[in-house]
Amino acid sequence: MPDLRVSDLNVGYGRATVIEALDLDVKSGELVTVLGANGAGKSTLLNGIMGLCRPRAGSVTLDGVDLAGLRPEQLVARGVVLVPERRELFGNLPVEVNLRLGGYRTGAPAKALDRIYELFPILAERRRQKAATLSGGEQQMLAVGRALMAAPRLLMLDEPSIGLAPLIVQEILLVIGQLKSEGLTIILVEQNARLALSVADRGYVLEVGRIVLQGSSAELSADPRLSQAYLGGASDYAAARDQVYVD
Amino acid sequence: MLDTLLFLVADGITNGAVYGLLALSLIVVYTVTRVVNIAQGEYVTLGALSFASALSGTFSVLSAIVAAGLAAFALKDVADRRLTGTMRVRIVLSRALWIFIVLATAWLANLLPGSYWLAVLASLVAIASLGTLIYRLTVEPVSGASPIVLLIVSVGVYMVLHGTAVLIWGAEPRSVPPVVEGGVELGPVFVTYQSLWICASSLVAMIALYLFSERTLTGQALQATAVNRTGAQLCGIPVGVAGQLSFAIGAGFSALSGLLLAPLITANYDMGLPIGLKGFVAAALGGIVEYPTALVGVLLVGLTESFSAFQVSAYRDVVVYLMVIPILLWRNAVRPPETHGH
Amino acid sequence: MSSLSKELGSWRTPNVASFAVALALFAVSSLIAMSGPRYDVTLLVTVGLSAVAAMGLTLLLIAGQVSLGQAAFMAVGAYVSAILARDHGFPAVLALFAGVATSAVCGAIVGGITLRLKGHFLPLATLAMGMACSAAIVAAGPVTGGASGFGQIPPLSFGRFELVDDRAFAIVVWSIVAVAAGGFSRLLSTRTGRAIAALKTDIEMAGVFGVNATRLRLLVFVVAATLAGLSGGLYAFYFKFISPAPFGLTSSINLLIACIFGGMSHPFGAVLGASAVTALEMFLQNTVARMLGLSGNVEMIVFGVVLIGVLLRWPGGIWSALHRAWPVFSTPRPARNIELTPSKRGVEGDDLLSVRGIGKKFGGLTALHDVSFSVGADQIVGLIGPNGAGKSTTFNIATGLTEPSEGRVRLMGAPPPSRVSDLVHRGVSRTFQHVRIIPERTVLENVAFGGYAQGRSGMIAGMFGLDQAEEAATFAKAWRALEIVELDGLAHEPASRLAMGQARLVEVARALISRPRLLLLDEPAAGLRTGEKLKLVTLLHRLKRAGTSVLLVEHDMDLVMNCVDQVVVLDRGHGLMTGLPDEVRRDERVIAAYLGT
Repeated sequence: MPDLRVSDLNVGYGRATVIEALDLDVKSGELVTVLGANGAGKSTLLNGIMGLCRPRAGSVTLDGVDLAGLRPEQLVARGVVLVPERRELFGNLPVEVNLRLGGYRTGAPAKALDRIYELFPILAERRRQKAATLSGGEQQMLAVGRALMAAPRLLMLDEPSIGLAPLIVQEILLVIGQLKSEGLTIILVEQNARLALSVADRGYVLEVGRIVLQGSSAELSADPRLSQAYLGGASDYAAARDQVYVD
Repeated sequence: MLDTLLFLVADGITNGAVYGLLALSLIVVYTVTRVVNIAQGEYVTLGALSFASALSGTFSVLSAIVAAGLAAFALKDVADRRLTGTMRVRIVLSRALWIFIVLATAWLANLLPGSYWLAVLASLVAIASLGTLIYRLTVEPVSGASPIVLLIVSVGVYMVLHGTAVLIWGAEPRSVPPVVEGGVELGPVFVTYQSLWICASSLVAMIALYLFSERTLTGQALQATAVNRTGAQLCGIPVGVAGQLSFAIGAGFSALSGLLLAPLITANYDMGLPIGLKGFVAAALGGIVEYPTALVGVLLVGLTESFSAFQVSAYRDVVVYLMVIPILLWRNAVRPPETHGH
Repeated sequence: MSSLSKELGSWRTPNVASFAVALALFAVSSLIAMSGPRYDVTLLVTVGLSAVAAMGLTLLLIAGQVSLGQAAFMAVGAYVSAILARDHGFPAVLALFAGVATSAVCGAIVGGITLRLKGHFLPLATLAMGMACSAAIVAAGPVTGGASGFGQIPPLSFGRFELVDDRAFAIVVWSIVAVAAGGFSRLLSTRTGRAIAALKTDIEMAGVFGVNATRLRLLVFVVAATLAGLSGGLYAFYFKFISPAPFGLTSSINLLIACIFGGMSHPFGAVLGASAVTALEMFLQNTVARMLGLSGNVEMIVFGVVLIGVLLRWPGGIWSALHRAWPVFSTPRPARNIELTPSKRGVEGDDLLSVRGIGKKFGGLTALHDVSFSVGADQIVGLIGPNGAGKSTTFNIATGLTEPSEGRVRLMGAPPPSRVSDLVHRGVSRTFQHVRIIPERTVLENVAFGGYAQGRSGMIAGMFGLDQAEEAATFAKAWRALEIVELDGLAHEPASRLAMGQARLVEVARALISRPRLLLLDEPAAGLRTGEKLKLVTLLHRLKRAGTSVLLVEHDMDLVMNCVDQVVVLDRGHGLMTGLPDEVRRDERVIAAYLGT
């Protein structure tokens, strides 16, 4: 099981810089959550690690091996798998094909498929239906299932709870908890901080591209600065504002 | 009167079968790589010409060029520093095998002139491989570019392939004997065996493609790449290889249509573009993405062509080309093509 | 930021540049025409005719439209002129005029039909149209001479004077090239030119600033067709023999290559490109072909390779590389400063923006329900909420881009205007979530574009310099706007070189040029570094002090909480609360909305 280390990472799109000088690490078997408000850079972080977005500076290493310049499909071969925010399913293909394609790299045996159906029984029911006809929650389960077919060593989830009803979110969280107990290393990016901290070992809080808070989930839950990271509190801007009215 | 009608229909269906292969080529290439391949017709030309050469036992310059290109890329790939020893060996072996097949088929065809199947094999192998080379040279380096740039690049490829065809084979058209001479009476119409052969081969090829796409994991991976490239990457599907494969299939199908057509219209360097464009009309009907609708389009084009050849002969081509416009307008309204983002 | 903050001498205006370009072209070409060997004169004419057609194509490319059928319009001009002159007794000049007019009409028809086509459908349509044209010429054999060609075309004559001398013809052709190049060069730096560039960048953005995209696109298409028709007609009268061959797909492609060589952004580039292509052709035919004993197919291969190579390596064309060495010709800073005070509209004390009980349904989905807030004079209001709260929808409803399903919106006392471009006339301006500025133009020109809706001068005025007063006023305002956002030092920088924060400020400057009383900013801080955000906050308060109110949608809580007077919080489509930043930050419901439960 891998150790992931992110050092001094700088990722952006075009002119914009989204994350700056970011340091983060995940030990084998941990469930680490990355929190922060919308626009904080959480998705960009995962995309940068996954090779979907080339970092401008800094490094990402897995068990000491530098991942720079590797394409996403090569990362999957090394056991790094991402469940993206938009799920990126193959809408017009049936559920079972989506799952099998998840196992493309590993040459998925039938056992792996059965395992997924065990975790998500509803997918077994809908196995011949086209992915686009599934409900939001079912699609999320399919996305997670597809990722698991790749036999990941490190699983990254980008806001799995987004747009889903609370009951479905609970189901998915149960599965995530189960995977963790089986020893899978997980990075969970979430906007819903309370939910994420309830399953994570440790957490990092991002605010506008930088880490402003980190610690064990117990520490973070109790920290009053957590809400500040979402709702602001620093006073740098006051000076910039007030100088206008001085004369 | 009925005779004429049936004759035109039969003629239209035969034409349609050829355009169908072209349309499929365009669709496979476009859906996986987003390239509207203006050069697709040139693979038809090259298929016909290299088939003619192989049949007459002359040395295939094209196969040699293709083999050289494959070797060059193999060297480049092996030089990647991130590879482990075993991976390197695997690459060397698989590429060597590929190059061997290209050269061996060409050599055998050279050795045994007149052997139909060897000639077919040699030309299909060479041209399909050429497709992958073109992809790696002209599409992969600019895979993030807008579809317009990809289209203009394919125009450049058209020019290169066209010039190369003339350079290698000259301007003289080559005649190619049909598979079997003669024909058969189907009711009031006389249908040549070659026409039947064309229809049958096209049908078999299309069915094979369908089975490949729907029933094999590789075929499904190709579909997946077409539907959602990011999603495919996240499954570990090598989208670059998918691109090469789509170009190989496209080139192969087009070459097939070329060598099927050769006995009917003689193989010459200029046959590519008009056929390509007409195949495009058919594909456009399906929005260049849907197979079934494209097949309807194909029949439509084939029939229009034979009927307008009959009625308005000189303006036949004009009619067919102009058909593109309303099709594009309709397709644009139904589902406009992606414009490159801000 | 860069060394380009030099002040321009007052003579370094676009007018001077265009005139100089035109003069230089005319001078050089006349020299060759008068004193060069006969062979070179023919070459000169060929290049000149190519250049005219290429200029039309470049104009299309600047507007973001790719045509693979430009040579077909040349064919129309050539054949109509030739047929009328030889077989119908038209005086040559009249025949030429008719040929050009026919091309223009064809351009209007084709342009009109293909207007709506997006992405790569347009080049495909032009490709098909071009091939249909070639096929039609061949098919109409009796009239056009078919594939074997149409000869014995009478010379071009003006009354009793016949233009038979090659040298004189060359001078005529290059006069046209010079006038066209000078005119278009000037056009590009004026109001219409900016609008054309905006078309390529972002049609929606162009529409917001008042550009009638449909009409302008059609106009550009017609102009391109007209130039091609003129080129074709002159070709017919010079060579006295035409056939479908020189007007086929290969020629359209060659014209495209010429434009790509030339950089696709300037008529001067088109002339350079046409010369380069012809030179390359000559080189290949004479040198390489003779060396290797090969025929014209090497040409085709080489051109193909060159086309692919250039596109892969330099998407901006060769001209973009040269362009960096080309000195800047732009409007210098005016001596006297004008003020950009917000125009006083509406009665004092009324809300500038008032939103009451608005709701929005998309199909079965309720995106918004019962949202109310207002923005008064001299106020900065922030609109916040977690992901999916409905901020963008609210923003678009406030500006009139979207109709609410229920509720009432009042913008400056009246319902939002039906046309987005009318916002400017109400004293309201907005920016966009993703930066939408024209990368090929300078910062100053981008800001000046903001004044489009308030201007009038069109293509003719732009080409022939009848718009000096209006342009001067527009640029004076642009300079002032740049001073307000403190970016006047970057006025002559190409916009593509700006950092994100600077680009956002340029967008604000562009919005300020219409002197708005209410400014609507969509995520102005997204992608900005800390230093840039500080500048933004200062700017917003300076604007407030000068009398402009601001409504902004933002994710950066630190910025919002420290910058705005009032916060409106949305959550899952309804208004959660409105209040002062400190109140909002401490409210339990708001915290729960953001952090989850």
